Amino acid sequence: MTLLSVQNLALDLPLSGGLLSALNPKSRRTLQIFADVSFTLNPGETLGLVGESGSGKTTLARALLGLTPTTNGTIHFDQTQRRTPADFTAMRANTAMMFQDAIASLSPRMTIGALLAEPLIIHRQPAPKTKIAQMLALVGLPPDFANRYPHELSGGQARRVGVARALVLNPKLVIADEPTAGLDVSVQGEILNLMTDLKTRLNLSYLIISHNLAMVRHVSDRIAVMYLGRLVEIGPTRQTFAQPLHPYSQSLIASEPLPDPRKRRQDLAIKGEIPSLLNRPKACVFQSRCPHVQPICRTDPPTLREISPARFVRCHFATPTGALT
Amino acid sequence: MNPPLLEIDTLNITYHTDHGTLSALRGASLIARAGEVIGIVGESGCGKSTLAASVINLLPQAAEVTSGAVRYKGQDILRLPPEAQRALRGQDIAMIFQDPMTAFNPVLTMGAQLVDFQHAAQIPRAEKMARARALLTRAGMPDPDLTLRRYPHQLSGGMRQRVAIAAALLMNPTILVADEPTTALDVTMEAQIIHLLRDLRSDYQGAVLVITHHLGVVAELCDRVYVMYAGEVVEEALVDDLFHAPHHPYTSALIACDPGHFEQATPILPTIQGRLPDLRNPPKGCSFAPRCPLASEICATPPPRVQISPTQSALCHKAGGRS
Repeated sequence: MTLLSVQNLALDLPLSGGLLSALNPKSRRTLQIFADVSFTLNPGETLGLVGESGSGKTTLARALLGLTPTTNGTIHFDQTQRRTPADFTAMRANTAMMFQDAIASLSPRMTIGALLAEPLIIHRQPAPKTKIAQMLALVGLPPDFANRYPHELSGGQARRVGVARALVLNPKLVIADEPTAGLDVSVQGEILNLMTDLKTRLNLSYLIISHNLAMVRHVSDRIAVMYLGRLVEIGPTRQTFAQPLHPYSQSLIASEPLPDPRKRRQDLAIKGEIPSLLNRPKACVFQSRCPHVQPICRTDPPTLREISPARFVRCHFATPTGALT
Repeated sequence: MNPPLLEIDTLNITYHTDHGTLSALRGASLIARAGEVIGIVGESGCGKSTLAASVINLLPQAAEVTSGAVRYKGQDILRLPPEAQRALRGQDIAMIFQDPMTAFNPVLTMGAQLVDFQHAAQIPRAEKMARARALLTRAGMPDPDLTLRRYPHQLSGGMRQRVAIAAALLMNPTILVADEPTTALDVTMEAQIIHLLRDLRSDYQGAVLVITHHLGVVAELCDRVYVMYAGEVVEEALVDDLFHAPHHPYTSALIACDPGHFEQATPILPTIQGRLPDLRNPPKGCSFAPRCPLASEICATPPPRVQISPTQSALCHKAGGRS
């Protein structure tokens, strides 16, 4: 039984085109942010969504919670399709989002206590002081933090408040957008360990969005790799890291600097940079940077297909061994 | 061995803040020779950026150098008159900043700025432009002529960082200071910038100082490393010794915390318990002792700098097998 199921989700945003296009809606150009996004998430599972800036990760996360309307595709949460704003409001009582910039996501004029009570008030649930103290204890903060303001917190403490705020409604699914960005490595471990611990205790599912591969590798059961608004590979984390099948996943994993001078990377895995969404390559989105590109990649868009059990890859030439033929 | 190009000698810097005086650097020393890539690594608040800023004397107003010296080719640059310091900046000592967006003027083209940076050179403008173009090509810009006509906002972060590297190399500096040069970049661009910096070493005779919190960048790029904690250099070592035979417990803990360090996925990541000491009132003994698994009574007294080998030392009572 899946908790979250996403089928062929797509999002186009209108490009502002001046006065003429405002008068003639048909001429309005749109910009495709992502398309053909399909995946599932099981209860108690952690899915890591990785990709570079501009690949559409954050917009996808917002769309999953109904914070950005989508143009195509379906979202099922808890076996129910979520379509209208009312559907999503109901869904958000059972889901939570941890935003990228922990301090900026907390209103500077509200105390931590008020910030933790806010989700309960929005969803018309009682918000007693004992509940706030209980949430602070859950994330390892002393009860007197309820009277503090966000500017009095360190980066790590603000993340803990972010975790508490996400969990206050007792959600089934938590979407964490870059949960450790900007934290020192010693503090990063604390936040990840806290999230892992709470996952087992509260039977949560996580969707963790990050560009930090080393981190995602330790906390995810499965990973999904996104490139220019397409999921190019989904699979179990261990197998995907040991043997990535899509040429983009291969170069992404081979680009990560390793903390060992004896394993210096001699060759560059990938050159150039991710194209702008305005210049998305036709057919296969990765063809402009792919070292294995063939004529078919410029004419036929590849589909996400199951190459070996539980491993899905969007490439014409991917094989179960990682070779591209 | 080459004589040091740059020598930071027991430097003490304090910041005067509304909440008291903060000791940002406490007796930090560092040596850089020609041809070396030096890594300065540590977590936020350890003083690595203050150390980098002192090399080019771009310290904030609130900073005060209480003792020590920064010697460049033997002369103390902190005590030079401002004009002489300005003459060194850009010419002899150049800096690559973390955020290449704020390092450029948003209303001038890249070409205009790259020409401006050469204001001290007595050569015609066309020649300066040609030099800018040549360095952009060297820094791997795919279309240098177009780049010269572009404004900073028209370039991506990775491209701006390449231009920043080209700009820093314009005057052929002897010391290049790179403050978190890849932190703002994505992993595939980070790999390309590391590759570029490594590649530039072959035709660059000076010393490079790389300030970073990312151990992967240190391992990929540096020859020698200084590890900083609470304003002090706690360990100095060749890069291989640092990763494979660290002597300071903080270095070991930092390496252990890096998720990139594990071959296999681990559900529980190591952390460093506790937090940084308050630098308004720095501890008398070892500043890492409250968080250190090896700490004992002796750690309440100032730790010695133990020389493990000619190239490695650690600021620790327990280093090198001492009790």
